[in-house]
Amino acid sequence: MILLKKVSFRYRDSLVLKNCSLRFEMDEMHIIIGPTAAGKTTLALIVANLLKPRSGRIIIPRGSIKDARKEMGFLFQTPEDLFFNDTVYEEIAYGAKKHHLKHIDGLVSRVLEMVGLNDEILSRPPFTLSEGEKRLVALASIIIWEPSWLILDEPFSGLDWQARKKIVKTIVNLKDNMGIILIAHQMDDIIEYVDLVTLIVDGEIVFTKPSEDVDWDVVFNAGCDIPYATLVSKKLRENGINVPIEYTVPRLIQALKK
Amino acid sequence: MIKINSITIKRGKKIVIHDVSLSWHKGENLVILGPNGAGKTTLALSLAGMIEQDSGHIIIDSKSVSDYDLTSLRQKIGIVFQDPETQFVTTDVKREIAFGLSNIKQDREKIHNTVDSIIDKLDLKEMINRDPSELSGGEKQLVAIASIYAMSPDYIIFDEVTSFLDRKSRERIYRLWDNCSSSLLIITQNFEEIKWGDRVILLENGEISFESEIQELMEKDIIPTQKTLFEKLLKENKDDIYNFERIMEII
Repeated sequence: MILLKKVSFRYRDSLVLKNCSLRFEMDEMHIIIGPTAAGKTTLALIVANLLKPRSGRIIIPRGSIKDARKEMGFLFQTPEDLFFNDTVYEEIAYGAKKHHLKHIDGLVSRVLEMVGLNDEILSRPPFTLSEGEKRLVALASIIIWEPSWLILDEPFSGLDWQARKKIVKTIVNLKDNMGIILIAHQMDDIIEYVDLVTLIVDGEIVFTKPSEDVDWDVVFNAGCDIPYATLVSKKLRENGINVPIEYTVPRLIQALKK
Repeated sequence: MIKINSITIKRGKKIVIHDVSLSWHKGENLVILGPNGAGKTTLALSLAGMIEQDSGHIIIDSKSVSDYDLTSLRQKIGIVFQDPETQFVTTDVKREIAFGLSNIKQDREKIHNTVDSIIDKLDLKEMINRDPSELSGGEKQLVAIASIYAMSPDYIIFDEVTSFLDRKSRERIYRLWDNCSSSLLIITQNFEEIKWGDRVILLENGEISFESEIQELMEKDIIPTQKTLFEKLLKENKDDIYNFERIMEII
């Protein structure tokens, strides 16, 4: 478990996070949503101990945040900033070598398959890949060493639907073995697998709720995207079709069947 | 008009763009769709004269792209990248937006008016004194767009610029697209953005695999979206859904 207690953070004169308290559990997928500049990435960087809060505490039962950091994989918005190897193979293998893992060739093949890339990419320089391929390679280089926590900052942005599908599948498969903290402003692809939703606006936590209890009007009014199924449910209700506000397409179809 | 004649671009041994020909008329908005790795950004960079093609020609308003000097080329065609950070050169937002205009030696008053009007249009007032490199991903994108837009080039390429933006920020950009006098080329993965195009091009494996008017593309259902998934499931469960016809009408 990772517990944030009244965490605040300031960039020069701008207060980016204000008294944020949050709890992240292992084996849980927790999505943090919020409008542009709400403080989502800052919050994730603090959880990962890559930024120190100006006030407040991060509590890790039975350990320190520094120890927990060693068990965290962080996928940045622009992962190429962290590429430094000459080939995709070396980039992916690096994490495994750093964690003194054996049978690296086998591990590389396994994670490559998990993220849906094929072998021909291994010899290419990572900087020549497309945005989607870079994201998938960066993800592979993290999951190869099986961290306990996976923090993903906007993993779907700029990806085509096939790449998004691959990333969603990979994340969902990892869900049982690690705590997943996801920052995303578009959640249609992943929302049905999410356990908890936290909305953050102007550096303040508005709510943390299970997906099925979220008041999507609050999310929409904050300037965020809401799931397509929710938009359609609202539209149907406005036009006299009595249907609950649903957040995934399969759930909405089920509701309409009833 | 921008005319691309049979261009091929290689990166090492890999052919990224293969024998692509395309016309982009003044006043026309194009949308380019395509999977990651299809060559969309490479095509955009070559159109903007930022990388050279291995063969073929790019003609911008009757002149080869290679015959333009940098200043006149930037007045002709601007590009906003998916990762805007690479575009920033100054230490505050206002200077960043003014930078291109000062570079082409516009007079101070004109620069001041243009910058103020863009700040107003994109609602950037609160961040004008901040360092662009310290902004959030979405804010950076808005500043990058503002600085290209300030130059009002004849043609502007937007390379997946809304991918990190929330709904409200995207709407700010959409308003700008609605009122933009430049011809736009919008590279996107967001299907809702195709409506800003007059023509849609699908690029796959470095080649144009499909080119059409928007309506035709919608009918072909090339890219699955939540909407198409919903409609498909609705139709599959048609017999179990009371009010099916009415629901189809509403959506």
